[in-house]
Amino acid sequence: MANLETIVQEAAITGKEIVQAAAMLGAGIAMGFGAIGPGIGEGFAAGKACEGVSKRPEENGLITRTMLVGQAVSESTGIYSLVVALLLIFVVGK
Amino acid sequence: MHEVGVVQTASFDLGPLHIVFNPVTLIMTWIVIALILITFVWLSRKMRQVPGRRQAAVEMVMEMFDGLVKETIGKDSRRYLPLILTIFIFVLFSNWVGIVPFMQEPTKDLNTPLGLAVIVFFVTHFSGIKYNGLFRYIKSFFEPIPFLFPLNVVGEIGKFVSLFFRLFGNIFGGSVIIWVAYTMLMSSWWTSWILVVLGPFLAGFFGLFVGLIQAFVFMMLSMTYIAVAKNQ
Amino acid sequence: MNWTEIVTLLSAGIAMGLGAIGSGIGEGFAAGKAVEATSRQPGVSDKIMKTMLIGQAVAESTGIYSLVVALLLLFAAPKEAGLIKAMALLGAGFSMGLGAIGPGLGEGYAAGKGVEGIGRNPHEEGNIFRVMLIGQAVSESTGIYSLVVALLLIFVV
Repeated sequence: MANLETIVQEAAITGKEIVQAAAMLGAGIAMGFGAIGPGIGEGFAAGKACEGVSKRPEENGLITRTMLVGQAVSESTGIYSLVVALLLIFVVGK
Repeated sequence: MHEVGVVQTASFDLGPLHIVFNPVTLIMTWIVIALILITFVWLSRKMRQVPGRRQAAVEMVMEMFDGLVKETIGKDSRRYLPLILTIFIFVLFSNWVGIVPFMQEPTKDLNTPLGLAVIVFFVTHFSGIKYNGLFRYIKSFFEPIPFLFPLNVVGEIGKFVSLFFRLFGNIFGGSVIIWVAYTMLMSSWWTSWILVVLGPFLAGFFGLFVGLIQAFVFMMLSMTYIAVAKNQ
Repeated sequence: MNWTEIVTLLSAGIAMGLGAIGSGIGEGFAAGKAVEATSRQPGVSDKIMKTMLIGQAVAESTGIYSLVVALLLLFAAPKEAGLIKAMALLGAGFSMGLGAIGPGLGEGYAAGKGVEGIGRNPHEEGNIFRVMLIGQAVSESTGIYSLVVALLLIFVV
């Protein structure tokens, strides 16, 4: 395998292409790390809701609704990651 | 093995519009609709006051769904029951048709779940406005503090994006795994016998089981989103 | 072997290796809770078993997405491409691999708590099962966003 310097010279990679390539890698890393937190948090909410229903089954509807509202809020950081990833792909990368 | 991500498309021009569609999805959707029609015409044939065995079984399932919708949506649940059941049955048949050889799931194409999610989106917000009044419903997006309005809108859109991508991702993922397993194991004669064991297992898990779970999840989430918007 | 191919192989390994962490721990948690519930209430072990298996199957879906992305990287990604595409392929592996950790853990936790609840209150099996399934489905959405970004990076860029 050739070293990086010769690759750069052979392919005539410009500065803009390096920025675009970094944007692609960055998009993947942004979405990857950003998905960890909301996934754990929302799962915790779901688990506690199951516990709540097993303790007070008659409040089933209220518990489900509260769970969904709470999960929607915890998901917002995941959605920011998605927005940032899409921006990196389609605005910086193009 | 490069054809896995490729989608067959056909296109035609209608005036200024250039319309692109996937003929396989279109034909498979028609087949699914025909299957649903045949099944349910057969199930609802010769209905009597005193139900026979078949009618009693169908009535039991219907009552179960009626109870489920009533419990989740509350008031006026009968108005939503046909929509919810249609979504469930269509998604279920679409997911299950893929286990027949040479047939593809319509839900494997992103456009089918997208169409269903758009219907649920409009029904959700229409119900929210209808049951709460336009002003009160819009005000609910500015709670708890007005500053959060953009976040609430993004969260609302994100709900529906994840709704249709969840169905697409599960069905598409299953079909990719089955496709890769078949292509790799069929390539030489001494591995193809593994498929005798593995094939039915993969079809059963990804086709029947995941198909049923995802149809149920799609129905439950649509119903809960409608209920949350309606009973604020 | 050119360097796009090297990046693709590396990326497939990252996707599957990291993606297996969350589902593995989560499903193990669910299994542990099921053992606990069965030891407390051996009479309803069939209900516990059923809920555990379905909960685990749902918790596995992000792991399956990782497998799909790894397979797509191995078999469907271009073998000759420029720097931008190569980095996009590496990004796809990171996106799906890391993105599968959280939902896997969270869904497994929900499955475990659902099993625990059924062990405590077996009559409410239907309600608990429904809440568990809805909660897991919503926790999965960030995993689905990761899949979307990964598919975009593989096929669209």
